[in-house]
Amino acid sequence: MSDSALQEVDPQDRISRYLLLQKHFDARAKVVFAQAFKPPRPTEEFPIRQTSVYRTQGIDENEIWGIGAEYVTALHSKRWPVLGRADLTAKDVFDAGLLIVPNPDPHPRHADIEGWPGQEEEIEMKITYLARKALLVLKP
Amino acid sequence: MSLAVARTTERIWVSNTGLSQESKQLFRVMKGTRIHANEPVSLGWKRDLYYCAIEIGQECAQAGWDGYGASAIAPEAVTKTLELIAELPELLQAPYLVPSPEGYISFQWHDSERRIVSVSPKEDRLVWAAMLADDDSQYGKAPLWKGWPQVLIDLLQRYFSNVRFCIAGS
Repeated sequence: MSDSALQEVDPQDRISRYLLLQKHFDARAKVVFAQAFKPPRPTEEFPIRQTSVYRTQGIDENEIWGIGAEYVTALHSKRWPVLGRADLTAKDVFDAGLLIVPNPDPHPRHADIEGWPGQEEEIEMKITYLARKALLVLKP
Repeated sequence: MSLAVARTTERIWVSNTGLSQESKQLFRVMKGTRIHANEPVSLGWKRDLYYCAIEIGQECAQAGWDGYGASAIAPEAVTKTLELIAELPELLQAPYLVPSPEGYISFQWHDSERRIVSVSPKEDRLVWAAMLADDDSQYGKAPLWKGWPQVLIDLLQRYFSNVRFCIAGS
């Protein structure tokens, strides 16, 4: 994927949310919980609600897990390992009425899910929708 | 037409005629088993959930517990979670408890048809959403002091009951 292509999000693109917390999924039932997609409350430093994701279309599994190790675990304050990921298509995100905004920091494939509504129950609805659509992929 | 089927007859529980050590030991085991069998069906999962909520409260007691900017899950939030567990109807499937970066513990139910219900007890209100199909969703909020909203209980009992009825003759 070229730099210019990374600026455009195709609805069929795979979007991956790395999972660091065991309690965010059920490996046996292969289910991702809605809270895994919860955008943090806005702060002065980050005034917009954002859920951090990676655009993993067109790269192989080793590279996907490599990004998780190098750009998620290594930058995490507690160095928690990536346990798995929740895969969506960009269309799933768009269908939820949300946006995917490319944000190439710390990696060219990094992006943020934005466009979260102000009402808490609407946020709950959208994260529940994403959880229904998500495919759980466990780290080998 | 529905039919309730007993797991066993009463007669097997009250047999206590043996005098040997083995018979007495067997009687004690049977007595304990009977007490356990007569507990409410859900006590097991409720007890597990109580422990789970307390464990989450301990693990997430400090701000930043997720390695990012999560709010601490305060003892009051854990207490509220315990109260909500206690108020759940006993014949529901056990929910999962999930810590939220906003400082509370969410409840989540899901099934094999990817129906999902997520309930979040915030400071003063219960916020919930249900995805029953791609084109069938519901969500809402209610004051926390009122406990579980009836609309949500009805929905959970419809889709996440742990009661299975058998049809006579089938």
